[in-house]
Amino acid sequence: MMPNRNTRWWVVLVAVLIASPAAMPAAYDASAGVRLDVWLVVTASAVFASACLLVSSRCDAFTVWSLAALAPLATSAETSLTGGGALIATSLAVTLLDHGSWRHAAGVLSMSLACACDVTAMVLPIGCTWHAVGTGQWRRASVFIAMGLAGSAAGWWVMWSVADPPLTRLAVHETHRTVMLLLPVLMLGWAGQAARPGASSRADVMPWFRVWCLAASIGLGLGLTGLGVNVLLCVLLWWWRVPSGLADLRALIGHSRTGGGVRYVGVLVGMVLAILAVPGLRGWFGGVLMGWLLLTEGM
Amino acid sequence: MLTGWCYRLAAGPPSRVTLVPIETFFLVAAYALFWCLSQRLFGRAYAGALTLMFALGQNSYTALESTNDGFDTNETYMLVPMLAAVYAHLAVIPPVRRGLLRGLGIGCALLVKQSAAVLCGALIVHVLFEAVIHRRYRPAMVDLAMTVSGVFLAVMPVLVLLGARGWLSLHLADLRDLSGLHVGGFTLGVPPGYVLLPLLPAAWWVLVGGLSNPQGRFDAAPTLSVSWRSACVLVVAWFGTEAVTLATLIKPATHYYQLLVIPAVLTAGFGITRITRSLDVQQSAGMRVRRWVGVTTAVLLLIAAMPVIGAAVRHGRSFDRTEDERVFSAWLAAWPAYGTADALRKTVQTGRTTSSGQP
Repeated sequence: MMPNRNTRWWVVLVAVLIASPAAMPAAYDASAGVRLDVWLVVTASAVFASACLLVSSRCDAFTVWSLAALAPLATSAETSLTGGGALIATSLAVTLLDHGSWRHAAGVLSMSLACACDVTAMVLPIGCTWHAVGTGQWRRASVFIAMGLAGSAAGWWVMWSVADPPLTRLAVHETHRTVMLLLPVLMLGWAGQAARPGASSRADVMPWFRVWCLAASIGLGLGLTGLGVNVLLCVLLWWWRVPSGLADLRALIGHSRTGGGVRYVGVLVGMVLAILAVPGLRGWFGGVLMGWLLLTEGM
Repeated sequence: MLTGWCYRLAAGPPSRVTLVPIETFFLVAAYALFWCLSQRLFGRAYAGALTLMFALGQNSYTALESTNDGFDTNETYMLVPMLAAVYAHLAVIPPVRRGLLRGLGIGCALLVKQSAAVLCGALIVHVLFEAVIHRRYRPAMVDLAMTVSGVFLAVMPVLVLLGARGWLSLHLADLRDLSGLHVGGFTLGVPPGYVLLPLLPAAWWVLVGGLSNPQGRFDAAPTLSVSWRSACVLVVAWFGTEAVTLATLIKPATHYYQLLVIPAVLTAGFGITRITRSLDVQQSAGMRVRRWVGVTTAVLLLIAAMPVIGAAVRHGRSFDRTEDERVFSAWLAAWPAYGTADALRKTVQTGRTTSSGQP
């Protein structure tokens, strides 16, 4: 379903309904029960990111809802508050940076704020700087990297002064579990990026998107080794490419003998995708059950 | 003996850290040889990806090993001679040189571990199969004679050394008594999922390649000593034999799966070549199939890499050199190099006595 201006609100409302149970596991604490503040932040940030995706790219409702379902599940309890802030700021930056004038400036500020919330968001200024240097725009490049570094330094200073030092190491199996949840998005996003979509997606006009994805890939690789990288922020960029990936997959499945001699590839890829989606679906149903139990038996 | 020589080459305190450069040397040599073999069989375009799959598989099965954390396994040292034998068999054209090199490779691999007998059998059966198919019996006999000569050349120095030291009868008795100690029928059942994960990308290429419908003939392979189809038959048969052998083992050690990786990845190479010959990349549909096969492979490689990355990080974070040296010294004291077979026999006998409940 491709939402238009009239049906956008319905899509966002359903996103709220999807994100609410998905945020339960991140907000649940064995000793304190469900922490409402964490639950609200995680739900709100996922819905906000979904709304940004809906506004900035002409995607179908399914893609928006997948972000609403998977983003809370990919948020760990320890980093939920700052991670939620980073998710909001990053998605806002991706939405605003492809516009001119004041919106672009707001996008740069948002990018800096995202770096303050989570240093992983540095993939955005690094990507922009990389592209600007490649095209000879040295002034823009210096602005991007300065804003990113300033945001990261501010966030680092606040973290050191008001809370524990920022995480530099995470449990590897936790990161791998998160990556397993997000693999369908990576797969569709990679395919969408490689498919060079047409002008249907507004994200395509962003010249630095390809370099962003490259920087995010490096960040994802570092996250897989257990460094304190927020893999959700790295994968987030590929959600903007999921619509074109889905369209490409539909075209692949649509032909029984696509490509002349290779049969059933579309069906096989669809099956792989369905298997990869199982951890996300199980996690979401787990959140629904947890919410149901908490509602019926009291918090 | 090989490990002892390794320690002579890289002297240091008894620790697994001392083994790292030695094992790295053997593994890097195996990667290089595998790349050469893949490049001859499937071209440069896929040699890199196949070597990546090969390296991922080997390291996964050593990193997931629980008994000795994958260090000092014979399967790692066997890779180079086994690959040399396969390379000679498939890619060396002059028959005398081919037979001799193949024999040297098989001989060295058999010296490291008797598991190389599977490859030895597969190669000999393939030579005979080729002779029957093409009705060329005399060259095949020459080929086999040179192979036997190569095996003899590889084994002889070791036999002479053992005889000179007076250890030959002891080693031959061990060979008779301890060979096949862990073979005992189909008792382990289907291996757990994490053991099969490293082979997932290769399985994907085999699956898609198997379903493809290539155009044109495959027999023209001027850089190979056999036809492309015959090489494919050999690799698939080798993979099947290794898989059946693995299924008969009674000890669920992951390093045994290392021997499965070479034929599995080579089979994947045949799969991807079939796909390539099936596609018309000038058309958008062909490009689309290629894109999706590539993306799915990348995702499956990521999944396959996660266990080995996790194991590497866990080992790296928890590694304590002092503790490792202490444990390793205890191993060396309990398992002296000159009496390892005796220690193994005692361990096995103790285990049997304990399990039967008798003193």
